[in-house]
Amino acid sequence: MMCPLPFWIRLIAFAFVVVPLSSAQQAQLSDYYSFSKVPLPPTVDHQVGGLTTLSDGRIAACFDSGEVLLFDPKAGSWSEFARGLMCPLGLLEEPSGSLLVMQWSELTRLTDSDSDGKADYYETVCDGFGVTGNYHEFAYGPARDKEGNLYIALNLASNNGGVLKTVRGPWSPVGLAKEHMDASNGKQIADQYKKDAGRMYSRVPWRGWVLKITPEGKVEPFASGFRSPDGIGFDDEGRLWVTDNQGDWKATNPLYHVEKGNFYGHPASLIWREGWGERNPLEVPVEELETMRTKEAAFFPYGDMANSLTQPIATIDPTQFGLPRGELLIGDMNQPNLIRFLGEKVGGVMQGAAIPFLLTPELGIGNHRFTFDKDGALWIGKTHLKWAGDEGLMKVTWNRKPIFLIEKVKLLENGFEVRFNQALAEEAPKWKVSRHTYHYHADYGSPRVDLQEVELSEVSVSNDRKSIRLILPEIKERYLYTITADHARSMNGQPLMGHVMHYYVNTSATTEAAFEDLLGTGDLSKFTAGNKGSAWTLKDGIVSRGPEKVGSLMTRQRYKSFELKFEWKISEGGNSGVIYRSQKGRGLEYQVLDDERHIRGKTPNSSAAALYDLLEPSPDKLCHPAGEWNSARIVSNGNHIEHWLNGAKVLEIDIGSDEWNERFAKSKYKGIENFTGTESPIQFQDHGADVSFRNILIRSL
Amino acid sequence: MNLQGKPFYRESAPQLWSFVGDTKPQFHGYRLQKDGSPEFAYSIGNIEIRERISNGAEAGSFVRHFTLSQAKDELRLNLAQDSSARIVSDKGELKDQTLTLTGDDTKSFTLTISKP
Repeated sequence: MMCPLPFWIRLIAFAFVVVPLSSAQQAQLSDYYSFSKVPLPPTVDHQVGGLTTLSDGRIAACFDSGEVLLFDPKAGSWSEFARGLMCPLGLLEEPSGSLLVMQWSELTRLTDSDSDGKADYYETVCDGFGVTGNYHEFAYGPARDKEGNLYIALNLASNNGGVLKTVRGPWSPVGLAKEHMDASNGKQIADQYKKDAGRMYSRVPWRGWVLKITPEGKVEPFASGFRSPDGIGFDDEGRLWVTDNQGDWKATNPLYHVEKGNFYGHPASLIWREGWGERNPLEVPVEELETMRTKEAAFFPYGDMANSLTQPIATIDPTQFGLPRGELLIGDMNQPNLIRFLGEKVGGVMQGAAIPFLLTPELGIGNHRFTFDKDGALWIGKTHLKWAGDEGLMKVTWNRKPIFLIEKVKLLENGFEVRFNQALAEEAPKWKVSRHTYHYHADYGSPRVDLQEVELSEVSVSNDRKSIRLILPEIKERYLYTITADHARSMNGQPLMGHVMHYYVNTSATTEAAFEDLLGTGDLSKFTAGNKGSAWTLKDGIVSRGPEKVGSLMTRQRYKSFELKFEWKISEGGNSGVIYRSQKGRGLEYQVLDDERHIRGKTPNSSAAALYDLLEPSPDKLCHPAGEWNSARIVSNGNHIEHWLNGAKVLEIDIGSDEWNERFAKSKYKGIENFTGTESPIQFQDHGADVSFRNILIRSL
Repeated sequence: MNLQGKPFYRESAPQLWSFVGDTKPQFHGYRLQKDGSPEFAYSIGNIEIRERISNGAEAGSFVRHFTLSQAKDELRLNLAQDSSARIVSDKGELKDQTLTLTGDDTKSFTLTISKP
């Protein structure tokens, strides 16, 4: 059965005049959250480098003066756990109860072995990276994955300072001999060597890298290309996220989804890449670096939204802090702002929207480290490290009043779908969209390039008034779209909290030029017609099965990683599908069905657009009824699978993930060896019903 | 950090252990004693070393307390100094600024260093 109701009410949008809002028109944060300062002992420097909630509910914080203190919420008092640490910038509790702390030159385990409430064993967990004495070599982390591996992030050095004569780690002389630096003795580099050093430099191992430390203590270089990655953390799905700071090779503040082996843009770190050789990374042409680097998942416009990003923290149960689970909250040093990041995977790549959330003077600046306590309050540690910022500890508590906010921002082939957690008021918001891009270059930061207003082609609102579709003339990759929803209110009159979205389109749903039109030859020469003849017919670009069973239509070429776009039309009560990565006809299947009339339409994981018998599509899928065309898209990229329907992604899953294994074990496919593991022809199924396809476009990935 | 007084003794770990085949030290951390002073743990090759420092009996002196494991054979330590600090060991034979310890001596020994 196709979705039976006319789901979308269309409104035509014309150019809107944006009216600046008074504060009364926006959500008043104090209606929803309270902000309180937590008193700190006068004996420590109040700059907080690390913050974590312990399993017993206490809060652990480390300070720039080198202490780790524990706060007992019941007693309301602090106690000292450790001291004598150097520039600690991260804390994490271990299952054993020990604390890990990231110091300037090592990751240290703090253990209270005699149970007197104080650490007595300071154990070096990792010092397998270089240190030169340069003032900018901060170290961040750790973050821990589900397997117990730890991840730390290391700053580059800055040519605003030199190095000590004795450094830890081998020195890379590429482009600059050590003796030229020795004279600096940790202070200023002679002007004639500044350019050779590079604005930010990596002269000892793993500066500008994220390192992985296994439970056995083995250090592995994990990813490169970072400049000043002050935030590192995992989300609920086990994805590693790292923020970086604007500067050379960093157009504005980026957020990266970090995966093993990738390079994230700053070339200085490449010198330590395996097999790199003697080539000076600073002399590699930008065009070459561009092809090497993994692009940003999000950009946070400098000045508008953030100047120096800090820690990303995964949101918690929505009943505790008011935000949906599965998001990231990210801080900034210079602005009184906590930012939500709503990510989605498009074409196998994570990207998404950044939305200001706690944007208020009550929050203050210098928001550096975060932890949710057992009651769901957010603790914020502040710092400045002699740059912009503040100091102290703040606690933000949600008062349980429901918030009207954006729940999801989804990229469509030709626009965006914005979903709210409450129905919109009848009076429509004033929508405004602009876009710009940035330069990728050695200069410090980038101006906004090609900034322009984008006229909306169409705005439509869903029947439940919880979703808006913004249709644009085109979507351009590598552009940051700023979407503003002024005067947005819910049905009950609540103002929207966070009415500006910045969506960075790293990759779009369409890149037509790369696709091959399988019907473009005007015949079926790119297909075989199964094992029962060739009676599929092609007329006016539409290939149809016809009234008699003829066998499935199969591509002559075999595919495994690919992106396929097509349109389908099913007859009343009909059933078909598009089968891929198959063996002996059994493989993954994009279900093509008349949901309304066919019995399989009653079961979500066999309804239209489902990954048949494995994964159901989103319940709010937009699906046209039998006899009408639907557009579809399959992304099969390595282990990543996506199904799209009518411009919206309706499901995704990673083969081999816990979710996959669980679903596979319950499916009709269980027990098939190497299921999905092979390339195969793509099969447009003859399942005994009339079905038609058109605009079949494919590209290998 | 401000140094108070004039240094009269300087040493780096590689120098002291320079007669050991693999002289690159690996630092493992430190354990705080009851009095709050640290006992450092590091290794040179296969030799695991714990070292703490205490005040000496004489004014202007200090004592380095070593506890070694895995050093079964004779061991020589390089005590060469630019300065003329006085160094006394409670074990082994100190000659020409080289301290020779038997395998048994290495289990626990001290070096007392005093101002010249």
